[in-house]
Amino acid sequence: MTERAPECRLDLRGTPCPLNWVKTKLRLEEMEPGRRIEVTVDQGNPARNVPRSAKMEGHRIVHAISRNGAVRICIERAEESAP
Amino acid sequence: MSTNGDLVELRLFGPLREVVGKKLVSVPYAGLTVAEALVRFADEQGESVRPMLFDSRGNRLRSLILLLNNQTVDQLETSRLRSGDVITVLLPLAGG
Amino acid sequence: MSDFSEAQIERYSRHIILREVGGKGQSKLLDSRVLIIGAGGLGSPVGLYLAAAGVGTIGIVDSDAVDLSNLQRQILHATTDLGRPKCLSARETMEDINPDVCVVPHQFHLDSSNVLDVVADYDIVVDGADNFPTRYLVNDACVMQGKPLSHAGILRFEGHVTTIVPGRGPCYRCLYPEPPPPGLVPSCQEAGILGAVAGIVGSIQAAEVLKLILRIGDALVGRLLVFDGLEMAFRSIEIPRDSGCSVCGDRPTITAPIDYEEFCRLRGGTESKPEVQS
Repeated sequence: MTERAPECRLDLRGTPCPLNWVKTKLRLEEMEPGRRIEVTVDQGNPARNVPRSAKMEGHRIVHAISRNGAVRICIERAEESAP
Repeated sequence: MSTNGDLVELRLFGPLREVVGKKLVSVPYAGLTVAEALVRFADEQGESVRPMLFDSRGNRLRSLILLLNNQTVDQLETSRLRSGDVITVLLPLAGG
Repeated sequence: MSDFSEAQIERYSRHIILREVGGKGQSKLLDSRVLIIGAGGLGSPVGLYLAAAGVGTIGIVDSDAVDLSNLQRQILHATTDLGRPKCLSARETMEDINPDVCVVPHQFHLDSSNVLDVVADYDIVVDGADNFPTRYLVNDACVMQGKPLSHAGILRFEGHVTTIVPGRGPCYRCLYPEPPPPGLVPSCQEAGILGAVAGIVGSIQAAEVLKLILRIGDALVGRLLVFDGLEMAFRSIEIPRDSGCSVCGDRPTITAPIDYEEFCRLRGGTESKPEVQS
């Protein structure tokens, strides 16, 4: 159990910014701190913006893996999502 | 006559500003209390201004907010004005 | 709460993105109930922004019909609404903007016999009335029921705004224990009002209501914000609670709503029948 598996996966390919982040955020809000979500987004702006927004809210990017024109981003939920 | 050292400012809003025709009035009231300054102002400005500050019996209206240097004044009768002080007079606005 | 529809996720995305709002905050907005007194100059921007924000239930008290002279500032209503009850015109506009919102029309005069019942159904009240008797009636009812109240008044180029949270700060009577003698402070009908000033001040009220629902930031509690549109300046004045206040003080003497027509007569006023809207 070195790498905890993501609690849920969202395929957000084709979902434009900022809706891809909004949908990710809504899921993160429902999760316990420390749990993980894996979202798949398009390369380019989505792959840049979603991790940046997640980090701005204090969440941790566990990894981001590029494959076949999409990027799989694993995000670990922060302790506190609201200030 | 007054010297600059006597001057305090009255900052007017709403209908009072309208009647006096100015938003700031410099008056040589240093040394007076806030209460005395209002009486003096009403005396000097005349009958269009008096009803905005006092009722027909000469009592100060209970619908005024009076500020001295942007703070509410607890001691209207005893706080003495100093040169450069600013008295703000606010009336409630009914419009919506 | 991800029981948002796809359309809701998109509609409220700019709220949800805000760290202080998120999905939980948006759900609070959808679950909240706000009462707006008057669908006029202030009530219009308040109603539009609260509806757009997804405040789930919005009550509107107004007994007037739309008049051509309203349209210069009362942006809830359109030329095609002339003669229609403002309540209904407001409901149509607000539900058109956001079908998630249920607008409840209260098409009657507020008075001492109905104010407590109307206010009781809501979480927060917005005062956009155009006369002092209604303003005192609404303040007293909100204090008696512990309901937060966004208060504003406007005239010409000027606006005053404050937020009253009973128990936490001053009420309207702490600021002005008694109304001015009838006729002293003119109405917008007599003295005029720049339409955009109503928009600025009403928008501040809308923002205050949303912050109260979301429980974020600092409300205008204990502060009167005075807006001067000619100078384009805001001044914030700190106003303490008056422990001797006749309605929210330590020993209140006003314990039931005072009917506003009687209220005027009690003070020897000659004011004609108060209107709820200008």
